[in-house]
Amino acid sequence: MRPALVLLALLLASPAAADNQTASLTIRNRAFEPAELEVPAGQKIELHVRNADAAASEFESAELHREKVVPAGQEVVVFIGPLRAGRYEFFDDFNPSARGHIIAR
Amino acid sequence: MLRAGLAFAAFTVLAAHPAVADLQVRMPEVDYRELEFEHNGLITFDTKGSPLNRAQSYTNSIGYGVLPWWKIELEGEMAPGGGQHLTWDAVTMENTFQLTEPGEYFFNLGFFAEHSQSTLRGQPSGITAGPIIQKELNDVFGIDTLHTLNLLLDRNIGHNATSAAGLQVAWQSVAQFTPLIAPGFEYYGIVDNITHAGPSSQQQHLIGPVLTGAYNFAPYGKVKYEVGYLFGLTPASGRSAIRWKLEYEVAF
Repeated sequence: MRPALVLLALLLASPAAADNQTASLTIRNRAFEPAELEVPAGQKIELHVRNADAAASEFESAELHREKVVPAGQEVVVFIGPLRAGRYEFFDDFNPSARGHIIAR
Repeated sequence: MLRAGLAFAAFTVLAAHPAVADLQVRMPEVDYRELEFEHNGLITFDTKGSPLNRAQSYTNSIGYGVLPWWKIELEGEMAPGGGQHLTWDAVTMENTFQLTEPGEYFFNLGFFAEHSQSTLRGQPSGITAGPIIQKELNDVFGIDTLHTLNLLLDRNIGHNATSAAGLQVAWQSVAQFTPLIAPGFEYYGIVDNITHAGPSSQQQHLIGPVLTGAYNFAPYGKVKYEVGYLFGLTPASGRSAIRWKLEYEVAF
C-alpha cells in the first residue's frame, strides 16, 4: 500500500511542467490574438489565455478536449498535448464567432 | 452462520434496490459557470422471476459549476417500489471537486461526495464519497484515449442504517475518434460491505461496451450522451443491463 502511495505522490509531484512549452493567446474585442498559434508537435503545451475584454469568455476546443472559462481581465492556463502535427480548432463558447487554430508542427 | 446472515442481508438489499441508475462514471473536471441538466437510466435483465429482470431506475438532476473547482448537483432518484412500480425514492445532493488542472499532472484528480436523502419511510439515507482518477493518453496508435476510475465508499445513515461500508468501483476507457463518437468499455463493481465482502457471487460486477459523445450547439449549449450495454459477471449482477445518460449543458 505504502509503495503505491509513494509512487502516486511522485507522479503528482512531477508535473509535466518541467519540460513544458509555453504559448500565449489574448482575447481582445471578442477575438483571439493570434488567430493561428504555432506550437511544437509532440510536446505538452502550457497555454496562457488572457482575457483583455470586460466580459468573460471561454476557451474551448473539442479537438483538444479542453474548455475553460476566462474571467474578464484575467489569465488562465490550459494544458494541452502532446499533439500530433496538425490543425486544432478552438473557439470562445460564449461568443462562437471568435475562433482560431493551434497548428502543431 | 454469519456469512449466511450477510448473504441474506445482501440479497435483501438487492431485492429492495434491484437496479441503481447511479451506474455511471463520474468525471473529475468541473465546467465553471455551466448549468447542466442530466438524465440517467438503467434497465437490468435477468432470468424470469428475478427482481433484477426488467428492473428500471432513473435519475434526473440539475447542476451548476459554482466555482472553477466545485460543481453541485441536485438529483431526484426513481426506482421500483414494493409493487415494482416506479417511485421517487431519494433526493441527492452531489458535489464534484476538481483537484488538478486537466493535463497538468500525470493524472487528473477529482473528488466526489454526495448525500442521498431517502424519501421512503423507514429507508436509510446514504453518503458516498471518494476519489476520481483520470488519465489522458494521447496519440495511442493515432487516437486520443481517456481513462477514468471512480473509487467511492458509501454508507447508510439515518433510519435502519447498517454499519456496513460499501465500495463502488467504476472504470471507463474510451477512444476519442471524434467529439461526437468515442467508443470504449466500462466496468462497474459494487460491494455492499467491504469488511465482509463475501464471495464474489454476492457482489455486483458488470462489464461491457459503451459509446459516448458530445455535440456543441454554441452558444446554445452542448449535448452529451452515453449508452452502454453491460454483461453481469456474477449472479447478483443480473444477466445484463443497458444504461444511458443524456446531458444538456449551457453557460449561464
